[in-house]
Amino acid sequence: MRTWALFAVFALAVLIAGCSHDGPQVLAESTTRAAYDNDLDGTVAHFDPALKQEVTRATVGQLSDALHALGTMHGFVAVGSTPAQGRYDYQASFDKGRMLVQLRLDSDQEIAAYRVTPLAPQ
Amino acid sequence: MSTPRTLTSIALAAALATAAGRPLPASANATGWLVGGAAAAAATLIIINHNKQVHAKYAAYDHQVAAEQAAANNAAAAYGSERQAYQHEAALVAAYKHETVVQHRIVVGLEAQLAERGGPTRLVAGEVAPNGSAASYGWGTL
Repeated sequence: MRTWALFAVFALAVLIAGCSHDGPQVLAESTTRAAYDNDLDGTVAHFDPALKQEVTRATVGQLSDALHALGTMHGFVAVGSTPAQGRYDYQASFDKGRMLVQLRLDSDQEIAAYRVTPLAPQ
Repeated sequence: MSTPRTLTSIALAAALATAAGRPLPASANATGWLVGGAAAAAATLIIINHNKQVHAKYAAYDHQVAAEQAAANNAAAAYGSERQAYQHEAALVAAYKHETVVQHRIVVGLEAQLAERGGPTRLVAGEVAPNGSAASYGWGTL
């Protein structure tokens, strides 16, 4: 009986882990870090199928260059969100500046829009 | 509390209040929370400014009392007044720090709003935003 209970708990944990999605900040960070590393597959890993169609190796390279121009990437800080609309904004800090990273998630919690904008120096 | 700083804070608060009252274009619906947040931040700034004025006033008063007590050779009372003045000045510094945090939050929020309003509906890496302020990178419509 006890073995069955343990098995049920384990199965439930596996089920929950399988269903869980990464939070928006994790998605923003992993996507931006992949772009920083000029990693096309990593960049589009959480994009929805329509958005994946828009991405090319060249544009990821341009974004990577823009991110590298600011030096080493540090932390992400949430600066605002509208969860009902799937909108999340973060500020990414670098050695030599900041970038505004904006996401729109679709109902499947996949990235439907992703934008990075340099912020004025502080 | 210097007059230019007060005027600057009031002007910022007024600008934010004006922005909060102005109708936004449809594309800016997603940033409605920013405007609401800015209005709340403006109210916070007004409160911080009031607190700063109060602390500065009390600090000045305590300094004056301490000077009078020192002149009257009342060292213990002068020490107490100086200590009180110091505490008010420390509170004033804390208010300045809080003000900086609130203003930073406002600036980042406005930058986000500007980026969202200024950009075309669809940007690809390397395109320059129409407002010319910065190049936006990314894909899809926010």
